[in-house]
Amino acid sequence: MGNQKLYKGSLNTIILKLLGENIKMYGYEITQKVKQITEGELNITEGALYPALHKLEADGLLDVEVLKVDNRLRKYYMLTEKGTKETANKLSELESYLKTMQTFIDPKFSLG
Amino acid sequence: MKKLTKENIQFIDNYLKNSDVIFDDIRMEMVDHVATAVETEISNGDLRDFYYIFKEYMVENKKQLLDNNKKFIRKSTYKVGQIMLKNTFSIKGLAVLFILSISLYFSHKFLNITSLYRVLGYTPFLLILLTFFGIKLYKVNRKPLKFSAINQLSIYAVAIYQIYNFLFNPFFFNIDKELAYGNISLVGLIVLLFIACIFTLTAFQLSNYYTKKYQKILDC
Repeated sequence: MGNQKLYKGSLNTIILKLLGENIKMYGYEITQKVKQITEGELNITEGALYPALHKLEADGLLDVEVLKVDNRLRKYYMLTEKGTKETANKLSELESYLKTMQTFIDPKFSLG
Repeated sequence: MKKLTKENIQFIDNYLKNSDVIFDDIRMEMVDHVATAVETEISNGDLRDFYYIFKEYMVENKKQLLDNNKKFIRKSTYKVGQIMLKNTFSIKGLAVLFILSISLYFSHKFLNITSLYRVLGYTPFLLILLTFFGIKLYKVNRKPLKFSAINQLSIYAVAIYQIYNFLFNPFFFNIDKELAYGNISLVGLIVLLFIACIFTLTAFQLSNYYTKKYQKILDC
């Protein structure tokens, strides 16, 4: 399962990246998609996912749409214009972070 | 994928409602999450009855779901405060403050001061009262739904009412004595009226937001 704490700081970036690729998604779908992509390595719990989604919505990065699906109401999340810009920023931040970490883990690799 | 029946969904909804997930906007999302998880389990080959699968899921995840509920309520309270603060420093807010200040300053100069205070002193109280009746009417006309942020407005209404009581209250205060403070009383009244206007503006913005986003529930 890996160390879930290491992934915690990147949760918003993961959500934004997924929504950038899928137009609109609902909570459960996001958890399953992450599980599928990481082959079970990363398991996002409801307790972590929904507060993150609500914060991104409050910050204006996500918009919501409520639709009736299979006898119940489903809340879909999608990127706003501001969210699309922020996704690019977050991804570049994450990339730079990974490069920096790589220099600590494998200095020879970074020099090459 | 096998879908849950209306009765199954109602069962999940009632279970969460009885577990203190009282706000419809929060519960709606939780019901969908739990229902989809149960449906996935059934599709993966679990042949047991819905109630057994649901029970097993809740044993594993109930604590997390209820924690999520508390976090959402805290966030709603914070969100209302954030919108009020944003409105306070918005162009609309500053225009209201400007108009209030100018009109009260001139009224204070040219009109009978006691009458002015007697009438305006009640205004914040009336504004908050009207906002609540407005929201109540909005709910009665549709469905008696409970939305987290609208409900959390009451915390701010109580706070404003306490400031109103502290600064200026024509129900209990001796107006003539209050007028001895002159300009300080006037500034207090302007601030209070301004806060009440911002509260009313925020309440209507939130009502509009929920009407727009949750139209599907309201029309059901």
